[in-house]
Amino acid sequence: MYKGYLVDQTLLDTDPHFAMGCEGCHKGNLEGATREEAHQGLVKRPSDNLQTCATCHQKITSTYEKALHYTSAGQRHGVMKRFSETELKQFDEKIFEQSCRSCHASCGSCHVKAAAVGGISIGLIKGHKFIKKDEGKTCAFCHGGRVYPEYTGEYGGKPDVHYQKGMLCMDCHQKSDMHGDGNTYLSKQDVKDRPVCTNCHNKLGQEARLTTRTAHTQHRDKVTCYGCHASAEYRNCYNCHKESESKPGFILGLNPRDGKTLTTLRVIPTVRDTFAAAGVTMSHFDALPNYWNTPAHNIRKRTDRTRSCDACHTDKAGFLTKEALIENGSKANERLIYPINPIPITE
Amino acid sequence: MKTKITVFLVLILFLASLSSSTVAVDKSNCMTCHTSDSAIKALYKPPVIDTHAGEG
Repeated sequence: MYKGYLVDQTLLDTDPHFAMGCEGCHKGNLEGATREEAHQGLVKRPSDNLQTCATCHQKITSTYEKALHYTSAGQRHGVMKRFSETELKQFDEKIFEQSCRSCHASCGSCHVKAAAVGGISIGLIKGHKFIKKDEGKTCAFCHGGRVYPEYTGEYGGKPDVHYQKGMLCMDCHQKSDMHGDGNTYLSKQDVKDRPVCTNCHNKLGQEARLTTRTAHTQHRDKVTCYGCHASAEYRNCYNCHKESESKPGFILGLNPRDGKTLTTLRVIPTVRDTFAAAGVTMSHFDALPNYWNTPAHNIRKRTDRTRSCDACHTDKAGFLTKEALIENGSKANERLIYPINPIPITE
Repeated sequence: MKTKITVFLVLILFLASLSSSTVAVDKSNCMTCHTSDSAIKALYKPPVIDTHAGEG
């Protein structure tokens, strides 16, 4: 762990970022003789204040201050419908600003030093070098509970086929997804240029193979790509801020955002008393479900569902049922159950 | 003559680009410890792990 605080001395002579000395960004006390004295007034994350980087990177910081990685607005927007007006004010004050916002990424979180998650950080990514990207040490750290290990196969099952082909996060998620495009979004769902499979796979329904062509034509706009091509179980969290209870699961149901598309769902850990410890209740808890559409990052060309129509239409494997709903969950959960039917046989 | 001046200027610029002293060098106290493996190892304090923090 201590190595994460070691600075590569050669950078001092070659990287213009060091032209102002350490204190240019980190402040502190240059005259201090001990660790404690030297660290008096230290700014641990200088780029929390975007103006630090704006001196040179004005264009990027101007869009980044509105980007979701910086504002964390998605976390607030995702839960706010559960609160009354008074409760929302309490949530903003006691939870969003204190907890959610503490997770926002500064410029340095991706380009210099990996963010601390659960109190653990790997420290400097490459001896304080200002790197362009290193997904395995940056994206993976914050998104390492679910998405990244699904993608690499470390969570079980096979790795995502795109990972096996050598693709990493930034091959689909563009730079503008990170730095923002200048627009203020409340949720990642609203981002205009977010990645979609059809950016590359743009000839669906024109395949030579009849079964593939038929499947893509029949399910287009009715089932998401993940619905068929997510290859294995992914992590679902059941009791956040209580007993840790995350376990694998594969859940197919209606996308709560449109109420009609069949897709992979993930249990999102907001239970009735999630914020009780902070004295915040959720009067409208049932306004939102506990399951949300999820872009499972374990895509394969062939899965149980692409091999056989029966996997869904007869066996109903993975489909959300009333019996499988989480206990004491939201009443909105039942609306996500998809009544899958056998394929009608025509003469 | 004009060609000679151009070649001379290009040579000067090339030599300047080879210089490693193009940025200010920080020789402050910070670097005394933060570039020394043994010093930073001795000073390092493991973080207190927040078991309530989530992961995404």
